[in-house]
Amino acid sequence: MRFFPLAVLLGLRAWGGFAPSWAQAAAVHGVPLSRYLGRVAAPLLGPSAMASVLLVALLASSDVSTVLLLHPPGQPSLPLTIFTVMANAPEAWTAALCLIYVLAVMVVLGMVRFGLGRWSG
Amino acid sequence: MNPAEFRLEGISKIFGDHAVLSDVSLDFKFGQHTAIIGPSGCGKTTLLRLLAGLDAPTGGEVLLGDQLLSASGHILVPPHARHIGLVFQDLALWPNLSALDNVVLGLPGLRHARSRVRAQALDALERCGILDLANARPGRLSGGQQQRVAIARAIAVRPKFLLLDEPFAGLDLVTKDALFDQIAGLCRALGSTVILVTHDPAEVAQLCERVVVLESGQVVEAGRLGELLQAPQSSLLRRFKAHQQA
Repeated sequence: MRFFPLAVLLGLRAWGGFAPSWAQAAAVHGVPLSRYLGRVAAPLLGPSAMASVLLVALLASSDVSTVLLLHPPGQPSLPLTIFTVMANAPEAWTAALCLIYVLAVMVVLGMVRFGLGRWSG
Repeated sequence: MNPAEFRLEGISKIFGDHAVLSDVSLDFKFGQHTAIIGPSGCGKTTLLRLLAGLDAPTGGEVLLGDQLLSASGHILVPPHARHIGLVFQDLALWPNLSALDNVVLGLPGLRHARSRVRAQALDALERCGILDLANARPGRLSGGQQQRVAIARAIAVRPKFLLLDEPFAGLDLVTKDALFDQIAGLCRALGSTVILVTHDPAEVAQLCERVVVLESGQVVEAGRLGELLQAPQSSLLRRFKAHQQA
């Protein structure tokens, strides 16, 4: 919940990028609101909405109170496991984890780039 | 509804404490292309938006034929029921849709079968000479091609009045001339009447028989451009005449 305002801010920023004339053009042509939202607004807001959800999910999953809330008691949580590995594991393990992290980010960025390329035609 | 003429009677429009239009009365006859010209901020676009039904007048009435469209703070007839096509200043093309889909989405109000809507959209694109770009999105088109898509979307509904809000700003002279010729041909073929908003008197002669000059929210003069230039009342036409003579 703490990160919900961030998602709202990101959503509002995306909505602010909409030209007012797009909705006015829809009004001039009698395009129903549901159709305008479905064909124009939702596809345009989709990428930023997905980014908001991802960002909030990432921040929430790294938040200790969220982890404690969701995680069964008595077992080490994922963030705790990661911190333990980073602090105590051999250097090679930490390096491997960093590489995996970099690869994961590259995959996500590649998917976003592919999606944006398709969106912009 | 008899779309013989658009009429503005005693129109005023006030934003906050700023009067953009003051007691404007005008008529736009069907079949007579008219240009509204004036310096930036004189109320041209506001006037066009009142005609289109995107804004309601603060005072006065907008009529189409004998039907009341808007009156003092109320829009009584929505834009899509006014027999108009509108090309916005920024074109307002939906960026995630192809040229064809931009035109198709503008047609559902006609409640036609899907194939008929598509055929009508393709016909509009062909008339504008961009049928081969039907599947391209606006971001991939040049400025002139985007203008043509916007015009195709506007004429696809076969409007009685085609409202153009400075749609050719930023285009080179050759492209602009070609578009003017194309619009003139389309209007002849479809029986549409142009109401053009521009700040450039040179554009008027290419398309419009009549010109209305606005300054500070009021009509300073109206008539044929050639006649007005003989004894111009507005500073805009006086300056234009001086440039022509120089």
